[in-house]
Amino acid sequence: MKVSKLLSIAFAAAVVTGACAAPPAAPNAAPQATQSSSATTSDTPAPATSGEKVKVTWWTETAVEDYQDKLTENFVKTFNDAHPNIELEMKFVDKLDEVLRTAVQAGAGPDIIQTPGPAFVAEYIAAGHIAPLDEYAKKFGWDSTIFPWAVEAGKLDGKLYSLPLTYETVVMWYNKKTLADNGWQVPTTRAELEKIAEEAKAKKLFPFVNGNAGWRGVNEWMVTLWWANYAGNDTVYKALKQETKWDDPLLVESITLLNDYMQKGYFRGSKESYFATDFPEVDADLASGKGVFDFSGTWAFQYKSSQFPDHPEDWEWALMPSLRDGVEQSFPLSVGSTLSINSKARNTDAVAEVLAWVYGDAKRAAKIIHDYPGEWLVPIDLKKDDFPADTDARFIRILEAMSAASKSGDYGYTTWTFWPQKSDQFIVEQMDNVFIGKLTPAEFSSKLQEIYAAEAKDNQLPPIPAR
Amino acid sequence: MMTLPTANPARPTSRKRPFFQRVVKPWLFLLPILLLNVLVILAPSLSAVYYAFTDWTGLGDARWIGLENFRRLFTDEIFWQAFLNNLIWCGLFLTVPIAMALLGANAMAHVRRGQVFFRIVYFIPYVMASVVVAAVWRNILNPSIGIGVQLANLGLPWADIKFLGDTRTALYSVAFVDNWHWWGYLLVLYLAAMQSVDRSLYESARLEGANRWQEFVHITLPGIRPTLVFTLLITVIFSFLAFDYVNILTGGGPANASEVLSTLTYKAAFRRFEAGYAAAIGLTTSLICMVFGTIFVTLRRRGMEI
Repeated sequence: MKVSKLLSIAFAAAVVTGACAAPPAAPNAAPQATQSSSATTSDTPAPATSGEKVKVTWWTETAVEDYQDKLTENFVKTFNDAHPNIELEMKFVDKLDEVLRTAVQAGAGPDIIQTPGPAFVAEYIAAGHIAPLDEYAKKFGWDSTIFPWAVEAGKLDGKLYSLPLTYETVVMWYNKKTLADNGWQVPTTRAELEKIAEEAKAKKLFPFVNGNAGWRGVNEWMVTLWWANYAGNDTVYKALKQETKWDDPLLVESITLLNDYMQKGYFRGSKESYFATDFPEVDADLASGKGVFDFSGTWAFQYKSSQFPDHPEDWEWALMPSLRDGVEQSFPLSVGSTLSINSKARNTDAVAEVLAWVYGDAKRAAKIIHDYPGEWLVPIDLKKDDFPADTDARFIRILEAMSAASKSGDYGYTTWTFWPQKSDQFIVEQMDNVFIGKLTPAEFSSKLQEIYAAEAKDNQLPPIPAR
Repeated sequence: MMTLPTANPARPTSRKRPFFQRVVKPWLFLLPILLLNVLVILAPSLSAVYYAFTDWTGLGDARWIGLENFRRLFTDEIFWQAFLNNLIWCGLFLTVPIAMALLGANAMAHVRRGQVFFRIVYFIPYVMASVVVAAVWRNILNPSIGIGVQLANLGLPWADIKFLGDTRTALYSVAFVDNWHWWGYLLVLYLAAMQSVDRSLYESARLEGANRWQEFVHITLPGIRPTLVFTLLITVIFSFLAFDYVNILTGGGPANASEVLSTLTYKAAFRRFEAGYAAAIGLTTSLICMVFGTIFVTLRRRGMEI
């Protein structure tokens, strides 16, 4: 057989394979999803009227086995016990974002689409893979149960497409013993922070233990904190709303200050060490007293018991100090993971029941938080009494503070929730170039402005809740 | 009366075998693997060619944008940085591991006892999972507890290098680790090739007064030329596909200092939702590999013994 014939056969087979694959999602699938909801429920009888069990699939992030077991016990089992006609199947998937994206595109995704944040959902919405949730929001009262800013983050063009599974903030972790041994108090101002940093350096300690080898995204945690605590949340809000630009002097000065701290060796002694240090060393250095402060998020709660196994009372958190007179300390908030309904879900009513189970009971949500600290902080108003009696008081304190900030509107903005995808990635990837001197803070800010403006023009900005 | 055996007229000779036996049957044996390759290689490859000319995000429909991705590629500083890093990587792997493996194999070829032991020892890193090798070396190169700081504590302050965190050393450090796992494989290939070289050639050379180096240059290298050229070709191709060690050890950082085309492709597709652009980078990488492959095939066709 000639090669050309063989290629023709192979090509034909490829075309047939492609044709046999799931058809691409209709571009307008999302707007039709409400209709689809009722249609699918008539196609597949609603759980209440059918003797057949409806299966709902949910792929979520992997965690250590103990946390997975507890999540299954506290959430999946309680749901399945309470809903005899629905069977929830939760799978723990490594590299969830990548696997899910491929599966959804191929039409083989789960009924519940969990993404790392609103910017990721926007891409699914644009591709028609997400069903609107407005009808279910009314039915289950999500607007009044979930904090408004977190609900807003899930809207696009006024329609609700995603719900916040977990919310987060970035704080300053420290070791109480390290501070006490050196006679330091928790800093609340830039002067106090810099005084401790200089003294720590003189004692051969790392003022800030952070490194970004394990996750280059650590850069954006820092940028978030420095913008919030130097330029201030109002300025950041204006830039997000395009009332000012990202090369606003205050925002540029924030980046300059962060870079100054890097050049002074506050971060692990040198930028090279910062670039080469992974999370296990960061955790170890904070616990051993080799370093003083760790700027990280509430997700770190899940690691504290293993980080301080012998002296669990030593770790503590505080707000990042104010870096400029007149700027108040605050919590930059973020939606850590989102939940949406796949527009191809066979029974959206059953899927919505699962989502409602996430927010429907404060005590159940608090129990899950207690058993799986850090990654399932449902943004609803939880009280101290909701938590099991043995819940760590430091954990409850931060949740109460985040809750208060959510209700008062006095919070900051994290780049991974309120920035569009390309702008966010620019911050993550290009801060390294600022630290090595390849980009000046002003150039970094101007380039960010260009990218942000382009994304705004393409209508890709996530919703920004009003202050 | 005995009759001489004659060819059974019912049994076809090879020339007269029916079409099914001659043409169809061999293809039937090949069909399963062919279908598999179509499914996992050809179809995605063809679709990647198409997507390289679109603005596909990785989700939903793709919009045809012609050569826009390639225009962008040629003005993308990070692409050129990654391409340059791939060239450096290629240069390193065409020299260091091949030289090490040739010299090692040549030395081992003369070892009569314990050769198997050395073969196993050198080959082990190749069969270890890249995540394991990378984890081990990450600790060795760690800026706080690794070899650099230990040497500095022993009175060699200049050795306190942050291997994976310094933009000047990150790429070379990752290449060093990859080389550590790779050269043993080459050594085993060269050793096998060297053992098939006619021993009488060495005996003749020795009678003529040739030394070890002359034997190596004039007998060993020509004798293993097909293997050597083949490894040079796969080294070039693999150099442009390098991914795992870079991704695990530095993720292409810091500041894109160790970025290679494959990590850039991955980031474009999965971090920035630019699957169309990622396909364009991937297609360009494939074309580069194809150029080297074509050179190799052309040289063979022109009669070069490679």
